[in-house]
Amino acid sequence: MDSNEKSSVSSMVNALKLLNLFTMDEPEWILTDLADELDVGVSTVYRLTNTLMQEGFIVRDPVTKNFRLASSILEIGHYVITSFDICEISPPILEKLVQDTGETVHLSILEGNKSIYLQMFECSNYVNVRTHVGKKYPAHCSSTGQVILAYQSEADIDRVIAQGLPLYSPKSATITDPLQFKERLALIKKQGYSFNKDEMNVGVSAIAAPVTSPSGKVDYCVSIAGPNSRMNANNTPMLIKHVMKAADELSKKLKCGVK
Amino acid sequence: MTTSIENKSILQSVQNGLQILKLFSKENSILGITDISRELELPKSTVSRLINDLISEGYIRKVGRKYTVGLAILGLTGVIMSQLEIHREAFDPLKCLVNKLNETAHVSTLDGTHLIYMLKVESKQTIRLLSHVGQHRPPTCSAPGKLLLAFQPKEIVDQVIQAGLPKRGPNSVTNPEVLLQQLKQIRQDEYCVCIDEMYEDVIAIAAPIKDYTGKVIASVSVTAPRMRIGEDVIPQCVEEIIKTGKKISAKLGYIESLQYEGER
Repeated sequence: MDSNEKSSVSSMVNALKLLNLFTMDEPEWILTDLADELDVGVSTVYRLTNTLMQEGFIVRDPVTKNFRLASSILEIGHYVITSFDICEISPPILEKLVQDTGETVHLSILEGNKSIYLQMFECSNYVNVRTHVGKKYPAHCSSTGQVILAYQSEADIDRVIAQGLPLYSPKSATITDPLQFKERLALIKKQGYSFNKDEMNVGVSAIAAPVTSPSGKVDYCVSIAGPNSRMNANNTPMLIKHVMKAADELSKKLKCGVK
Repeated sequence: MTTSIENKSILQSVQNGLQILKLFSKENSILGITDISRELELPKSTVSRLINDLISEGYIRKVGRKYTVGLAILGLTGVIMSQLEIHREAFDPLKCLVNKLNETAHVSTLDGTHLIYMLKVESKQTIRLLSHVGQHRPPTCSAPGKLLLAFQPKEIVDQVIQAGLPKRGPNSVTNPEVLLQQLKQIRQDEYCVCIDEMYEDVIAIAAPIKDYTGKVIASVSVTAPRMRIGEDVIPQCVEEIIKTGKKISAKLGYIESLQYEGER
């Protein structure tokens, strides 16, 4: 019975699931842990890792015998970024936003009920939110997900709600009530920005503003994130202004077209 | 083709799936089932099954009736970047260098026997040279490539020579003897200047980045059209690039004076 269940997942899917196990917090894995986590036999993982190594997706440290992601993946990742026109025109605007706000700036996209960082421009503050490009966050509790979602159709919003609005972590101030969540999205749309404090990671605030595509749709957003201490009642209004201005500039530039 | 012993430990379907991912490139960013099946010589049904698996995990996404690479790959590259200590430490010194010389600078390393750009800071010049992070280059036609090769074990150098020395620019080194001679010189100088080796009218200068053990782990380099870096300013540029390499090495824990003592 058990083996039947296992074989219903193709080895391709297992290989991709294996790749997904490598995260910022767990960048290195040993063979047996991979087998445990994927719930497959060691011999299967052995063949999966061999194949991934052969094709240049992972490498094995000759000394520690740990597996980690291979830097040749960087090349494929680059094509993904260049396939987004917005990523070609955004750098000067986003870099300026880092200068104006002193905080780390992101450009995000919404995929299902997750918001994903497409680009990141880091600030030089020592105390900084630890994250990376490609990182996925639940849309319902991130300023980036909320702001893009606020501009989507009722049906799209309901679809995300239907997938659940779970508490991000025990101490997070996540909105978990569907009605309250819809009110929040309506407010965001009215104001033209989202401000989010402790809704995901406790101690972190974020501000996001929508980028409008030439079609009139909101596909992306610009955001800043930082510790609550730096984004307080005194300077938040000014920070919001900067973020909205950057998002507007990006919308205008998109309208003019790339190049 | 791989030997039969190796084949036993390789999963054919996974290999095919990964090769699908690798088919996508800047030039071929969108592919259809037919394109993929022709390119990899696989039946359409196999390709379509693998594509479904890749879509389910976010590695491929649908664009109209065709496909492109999905955002899951970005998650992986993000993890790699966040792990690369050098990526964090090299950025500021690299920016400083670009401001000083107003030319594009790279930090690169060897991925097996290929040169790979890990970090790039662009100059503000209107005439730019095309390159991008993650790009692979043959090491023997480039300044950072030769510099890194100079500090590699003999086996790696032999492997590169055996693979053949490609001719890219008018001055590419294609003679193994000459290459070995050059590598020896680079090891002594601890920098490398290449003129017209990758492309015509392009100059590149590279210096080493060392980790705390003194091992050369990466290279910092500047690339420019020759008209902007004349013979007379090369020494100045070399000096700045070496300085930047030392700055990054220091941030990675390399202490020059200690190493000298250790070597004696």
